[in-house]
Amino acid sequence: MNIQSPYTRIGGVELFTFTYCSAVTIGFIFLPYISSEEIRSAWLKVIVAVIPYLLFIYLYKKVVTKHNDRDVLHLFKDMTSPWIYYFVITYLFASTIYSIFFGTKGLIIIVQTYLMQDTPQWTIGMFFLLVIGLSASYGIHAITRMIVIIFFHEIILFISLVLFIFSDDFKWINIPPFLTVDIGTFLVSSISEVTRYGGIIALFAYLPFVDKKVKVFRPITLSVIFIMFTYFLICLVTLGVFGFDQALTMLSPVTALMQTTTSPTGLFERLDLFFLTVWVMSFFKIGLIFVWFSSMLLKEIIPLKVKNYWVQIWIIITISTLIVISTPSIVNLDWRPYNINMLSYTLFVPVMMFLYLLIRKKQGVGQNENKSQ
Amino acid sequence: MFGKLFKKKENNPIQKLSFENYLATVVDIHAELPKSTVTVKEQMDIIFSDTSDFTERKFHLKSGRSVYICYFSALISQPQLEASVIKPLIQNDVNFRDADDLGNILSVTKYEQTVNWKGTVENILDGNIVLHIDQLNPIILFLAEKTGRNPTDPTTEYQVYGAKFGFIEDSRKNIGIMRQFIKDPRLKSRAYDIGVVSKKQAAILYLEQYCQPEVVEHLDSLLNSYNKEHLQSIGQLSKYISKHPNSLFPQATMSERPDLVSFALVQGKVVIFIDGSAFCAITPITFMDLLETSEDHFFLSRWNLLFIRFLRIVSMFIGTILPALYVSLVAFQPELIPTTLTISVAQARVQIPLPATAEAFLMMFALDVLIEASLRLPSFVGQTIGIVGGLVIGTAAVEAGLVSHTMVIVIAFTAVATFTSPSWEFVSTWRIIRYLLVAIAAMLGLYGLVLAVGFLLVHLCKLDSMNKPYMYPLAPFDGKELKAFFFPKR
Amino acid sequence: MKTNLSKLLLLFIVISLFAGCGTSSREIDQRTMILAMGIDKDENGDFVVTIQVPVITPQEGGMGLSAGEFEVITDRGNSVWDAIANIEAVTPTVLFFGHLKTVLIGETLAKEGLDEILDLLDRRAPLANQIYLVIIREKTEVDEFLDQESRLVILPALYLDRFFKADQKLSRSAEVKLFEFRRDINMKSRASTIPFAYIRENNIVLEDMAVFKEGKLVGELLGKEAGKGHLLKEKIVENMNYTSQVELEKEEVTVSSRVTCRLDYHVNKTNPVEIEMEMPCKAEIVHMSKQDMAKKKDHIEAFSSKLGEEIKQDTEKAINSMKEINVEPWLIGNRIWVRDPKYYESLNWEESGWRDSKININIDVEIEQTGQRGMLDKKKIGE
Repeated sequence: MNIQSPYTRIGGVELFTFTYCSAVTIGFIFLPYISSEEIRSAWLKVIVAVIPYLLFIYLYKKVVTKHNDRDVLHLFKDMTSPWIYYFVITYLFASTIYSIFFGTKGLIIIVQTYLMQDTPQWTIGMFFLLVIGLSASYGIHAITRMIVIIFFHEIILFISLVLFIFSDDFKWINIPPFLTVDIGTFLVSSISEVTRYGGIIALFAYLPFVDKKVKVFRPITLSVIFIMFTYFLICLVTLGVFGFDQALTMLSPVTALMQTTTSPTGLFERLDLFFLTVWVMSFFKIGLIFVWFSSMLLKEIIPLKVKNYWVQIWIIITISTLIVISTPSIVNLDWRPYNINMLSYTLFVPVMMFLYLLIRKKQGVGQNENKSQ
Repeated sequence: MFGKLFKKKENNPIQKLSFENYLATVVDIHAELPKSTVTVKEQMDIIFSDTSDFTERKFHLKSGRSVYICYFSALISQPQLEASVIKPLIQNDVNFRDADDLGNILSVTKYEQTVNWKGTVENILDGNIVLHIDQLNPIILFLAEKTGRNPTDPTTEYQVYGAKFGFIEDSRKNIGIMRQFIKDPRLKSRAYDIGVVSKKQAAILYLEQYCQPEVVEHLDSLLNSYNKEHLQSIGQLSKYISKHPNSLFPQATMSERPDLVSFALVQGKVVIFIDGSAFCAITPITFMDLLETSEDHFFLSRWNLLFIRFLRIVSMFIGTILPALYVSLVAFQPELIPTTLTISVAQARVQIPLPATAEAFLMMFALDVLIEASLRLPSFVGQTIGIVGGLVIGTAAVEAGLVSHTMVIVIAFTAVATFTSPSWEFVSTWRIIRYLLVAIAAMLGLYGLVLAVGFLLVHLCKLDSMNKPYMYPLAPFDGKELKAFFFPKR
Repeated sequence: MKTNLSKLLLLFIVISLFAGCGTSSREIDQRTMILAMGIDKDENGDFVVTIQVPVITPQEGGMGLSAGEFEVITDRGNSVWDAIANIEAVTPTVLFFGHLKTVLIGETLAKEGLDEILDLLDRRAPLANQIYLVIIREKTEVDEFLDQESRLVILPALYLDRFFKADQKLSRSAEVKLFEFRRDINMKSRASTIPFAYIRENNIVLEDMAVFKEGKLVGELLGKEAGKGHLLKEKIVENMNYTSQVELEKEEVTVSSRVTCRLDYHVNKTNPVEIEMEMPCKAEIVHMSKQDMAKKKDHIEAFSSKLGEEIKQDTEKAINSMKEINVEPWLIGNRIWVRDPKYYESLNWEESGWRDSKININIDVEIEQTGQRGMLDKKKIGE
């Protein structure tokens, strides 16, 4: 037996599940046809939409190999003027808070629609954020381990999606034609799907924790591709079971999908509610990841050396709770600004950062006038 | 790294609590014993005044030198004292010049010269004999023979196949038992006297090269710095060495089975024995360890082991979640229950005055009361309690319309399912969690339940026992270890 | 971990605060479980909603349902929701739709259109997508249907549920779930079917299919046509029963058989469209009025061609009856569209494309089993 292994390390499996869970939730529940204008072949869009993030990972890898440092945020801090750095970090922080807020709203609408019709949204939202706050203060190792343990949920979901293809309800006739619009329209409408992968931005703060010996980019890429497959399956199965016109009108196509099946076991009358618990767990995971991520960003913004990590967590929880309580339910919110912002902070800004870091010479070589350490 | 985490616990022992102060009122505890038997006897009489079982013997050698022997009569082997000490002294007429000369006369296995008062008194309390020949240094004869019992069939951890052999209340003998199980020079033991006042003998046992040396060092420093007055039980010690003493989950386990302990040793764990307890503590422990017993490996077919462990995990889930699930389904999401079952449940519940939550709490509480009541009763009364309780709770309560049939089924199944876990401590933990989950389910239904389970998981993942993650090998994920848990190598 | 306990405590304090607020907690016995809901319109144009609820009474000596323990409540209102609200006023507990199995719609209402009802059903989240839709024929009132005790199953709603789950009666009627109906009505030809039900001599009868176009009942498929409809739509139908008269060796022989057919579409891109239907069928003889006929090969061939003829006729009948009202509820248009949207547009399917289409059916019946367990035609030699 392997007694010598240090247990605290974060390895490939952890990285894979972390990446997967950091991105998949919102897409899982609301895909396909989230935005207001949609084309039939959403499944094609999610495949195309993964490409920018593969580029993201590629650039990330380049930066890491060039500077030999996985902590891109600190690298950026060292290599640029402080005000740019703080601007970017503050923007990232605000955007993660926005994502947490939007995620919570998403959870609230799902829970209110399917589980608890008569419960006010602040009860659901506050309880959610409270539990997340409590759990997140256990630290990243606990979060990572928990995500790994509960990953079987995702596997069950994935398998049930695959099984759906072979069910009677799924009809291939509903899938084609594959492309009824011109490429330009298709690409424009794919942009909204790009944001479904945005969650992997949390890797910025996570990678420095990963064991130095682990080859990080392979699990990340695999994970992103696995996410792509999941999305692809969701879109395909939804379209196959409901047809385009009906699927378009659904709040949560996957939930509706699970509603159409009757449990073969007879243990649960309605599988959809069982899967709703899986959804809630999924929201819980992504909530944990993002609350933790924003707490790491907050640490960067506030130069104060706060000894206890949970202080930051609770600052974030408080902010999010206040926003969640004081805004109307998601029905009245527009997805568009969220999507655009998601696109900008998870793709545009990081890619710019990568490019800048790639252009700059390796740290310590030659100059630097604005080294701010 | 280890040391830092536990800094707060490593204080200096509080000296005033020990008997040294008392001793200091009579003698200088660090001084050597005087050479005159008369003085020694006088001072011993003061120290052990009002101690009826303190025995002294005085006689003269042929040469006329006085000899003084003192001991606690119940703790020594009197025939041996007579045969190997007193007889040779009386019969031989040697002029002792030195305490070392005694070795030529006495046929005692082990003796040594006293150093100071403190050590001498401790030795007497420990069941050894002080032999003092006038004008020589007093010596201590190791002739203690404490009352002990023979190893018997373990009574708390029943097993089908395991060894019919349990530990006794003597830590040294227990180590001896373990030496019979593992014949390896790497089986190391370290001894401690724990408790500032009660000075309980304790020992840690480990297999070198199997266990992590840091764990041993850490335990060593912890045990050396134990500064409470007494150590009564192994449980106290387990709590003391736990890193998260406030957690609901046990971070060490207890056993009275040598076969289980030898299994744990081979797994690289450290075992702590203390005197007066037939149980030893095993640490570090993980979640998975609490679900396995050494007996699982007795199965001739590997699939049996796989099945049993799988069964235990599933039962643990059922035993913990089922009542909460029932409450949330009945009160919040009846759509989930099959239609015909829903009608049955509704019919069963229609005349029950209590809401499902109260019903669940009532039944769970009644069940736990029943368990607690029958636990310590002699077996003949225990059976009666079982029958009465079972009848009252099972049948009469339903007939009286206090609880529904379905709830009885749920609770009964829950109870049975939890007891598949081999560790009683663990069962108790899940029992508490069951109440908490029912409470949450009663307020927020399935949604609350899911989030509570999520929190529970994060908590479990945070825990560690001697720096070994509690959920290992699930998280951090270790495929090989996980496979070994369910399907060990041949 | 010092904070552990305090964290748990905090959690509980906050949760207990939540408990004071109105959550969705409602015990099973405080809900009126609706198993089936009937919707119809009366002469005044008011909606008539009928619900069927099991009567929950404590059982002596054991659980389970006994016969006749259900109640039917009917009320009227300007809208369906009004009517439901009126019903709620006369029930002691809250109406609960989570276990709704079947929605029965009156034929009168169906003729006026289902859009309004579908929207309501769709918005109620506790409703599963898997509820069955059934149209009640005009000769049976909806509330009367719901009040009908079946001698076989305790609750009529469960009767329908079991009927459809049994999955063997497709030749006369097929189950249509809410989402399927919604899906098909959104397809290219905007048409779908829902099974008919009525009461005949105190028995629940499920047969024939109502045909819907743009949410309105416009026609029906009777008897075996319904089974053919299933074949045309799902490309398979199992266990159709046929009894036919065949002339074998100058004798009229009655043969009963069970047939399973599959279907394959081939579309020739002409205008109007020409559709080739390949229909391989497999039959099993279950009864023959003359025992000894079954063994001979030419007998079997004669029978199979006769059977093929009949199936073909029925199919053509079904197709023609739909062409008459110019409704195509079998997704044939969709199949064409999927392959070539431009060609489909050129057909003008909804107006004339379907009506003018030419359909050729190539049927091929294979007798798989003669259904004999004994070898009855063995001859004795000697005595």
